[in-house]
Amino acid sequence: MIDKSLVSGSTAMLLLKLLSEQDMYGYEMIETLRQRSQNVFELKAGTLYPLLHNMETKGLLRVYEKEVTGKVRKYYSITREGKKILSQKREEWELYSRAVASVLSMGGAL
Amino acid sequence: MRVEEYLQIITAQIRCKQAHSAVREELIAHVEDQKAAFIRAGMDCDEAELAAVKEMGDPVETGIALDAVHRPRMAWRLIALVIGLSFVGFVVQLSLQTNLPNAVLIPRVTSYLFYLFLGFVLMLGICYFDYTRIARWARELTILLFFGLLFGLMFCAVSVNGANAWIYLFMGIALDIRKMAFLFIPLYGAILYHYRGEGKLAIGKGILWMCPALWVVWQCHSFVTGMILLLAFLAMLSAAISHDWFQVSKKLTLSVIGGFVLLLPILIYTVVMVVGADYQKMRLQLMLDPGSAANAGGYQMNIVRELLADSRMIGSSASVFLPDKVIPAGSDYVLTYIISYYGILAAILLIGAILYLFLRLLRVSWRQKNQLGMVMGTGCTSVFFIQMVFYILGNLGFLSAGVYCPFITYGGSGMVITYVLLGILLSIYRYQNVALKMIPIKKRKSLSRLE
Repeated sequence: MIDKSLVSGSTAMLLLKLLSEQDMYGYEMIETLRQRSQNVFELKAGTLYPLLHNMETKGLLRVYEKEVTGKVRKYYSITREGKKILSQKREEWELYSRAVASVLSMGGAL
Repeated sequence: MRVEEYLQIITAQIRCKQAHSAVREELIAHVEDQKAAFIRAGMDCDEAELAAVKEMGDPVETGIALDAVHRPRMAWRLIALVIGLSFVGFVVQLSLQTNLPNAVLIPRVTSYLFYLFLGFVLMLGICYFDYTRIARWARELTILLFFGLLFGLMFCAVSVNGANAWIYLFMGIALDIRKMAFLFIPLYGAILYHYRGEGKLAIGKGILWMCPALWVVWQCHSFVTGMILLLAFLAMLSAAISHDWFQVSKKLTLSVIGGFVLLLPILIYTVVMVVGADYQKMRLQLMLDPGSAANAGGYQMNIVRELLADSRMIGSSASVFLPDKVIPAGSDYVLTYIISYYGILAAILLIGAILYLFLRLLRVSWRQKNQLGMVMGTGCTSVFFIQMVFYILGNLGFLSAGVYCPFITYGGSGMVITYVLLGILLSIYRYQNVALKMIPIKKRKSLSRLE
């Protein structure tokens, strides 16, 4: 229900955050994102995979295939470079959200 | 929309065909997971599939976004460098042959040009080929190559210049086994890739898989080829370990390998002195003190040293025109001739250019995100570098063996194999951003930080 443009900019950062905790495959990422955001972030697979592949090209993620309970899945793992970018994006986000909150709370009329 | 239609629309947008297989696999897996979730929520099979596909989003948009990522890249500058060096090498050899008495560097010019052309065709053909497809059959191909070369050596062997390392094919064409053996290298990289995620046992298996190649080379008594293979194998193993492929102590394992390599000269000396044949002991003695047998086995080495003795920075030495200063296996000593005829500076420039090419290729391999490409590329460039080291040592009179150097050595097998390895390297470069089919890891239950 949220405006798409608000979400798209920070999606990469959110995915990097998930992967910084543990290696995951695509479907797992979407489910985890949905749960952790209380259903606010409903990322479509069609948006997820180009983003993941792009981050892999840039060296932020590594891919490997693993066989789990008979199914072969493509897992993504964050690299050192990815962790660096994650903390950069977090800083930018903190700065941004503080600024927004600050502007919204100042002034008179609601 | 059903799954198949969805996938067709997506892959229709992705221009690089080599990416289709991996993309399809990943998306199908996702649709199936989603479908399973919907079935658990109460939908029936068909309903669930249609809903799952819908949930994926717009296939055209997705396809276009994926196409933007999976773009092949051609290393045009490197290809230009390879073609340039190929022709410079040819011209230099021809010029030396024309200007120097009795220097036979290219016995048959048409033959040379034919193999050069064949090499280019193979190089570009392999460049467009998806190298990961060989990876899946790496072990089988290694066994096949092993038996093929052994069989050839046992039944179709032909002696060339005293060396029993050739397999006769037909119409006067013979394969140099010592060059064919380099094909084991990219295969070895792919074999190591199968063992990613495993522990110490993987290192053991890695060492075992070096044996087929080393055995073949042992059978044709080529020390230099054996050394090149061994060092290239160890380079690939080390690259794999340092990229966290195996669950072993990196520092310890790499130190052991490093220690082994450093002790290798001593090991070889001991082995040759204790169990080596007389001619092998003699060869070793020659290397350490060539003056000791100036008129026998050390003849070639001494001619080389005499030729180099009065070489100049720019221009010809006096001795290169003397009729008795002819190197018997001339085509293996082009560098020596370049130093003697054109001068030391020219030699440095040419070798420098060739080394520059190898360094660029090493850099491409080492920076590969695709781990299979990384290890295969490291292997191929290691072969080039180590071969070069031996070649320079030989051409400066420190080794009594003739070696091979890409671009400046006559030899059909050597040329073909060189361009095949270059083709593999160009292919690795080409598909660096493209998702290629991978070989899944089977063992290891939990992998938190694998690659």
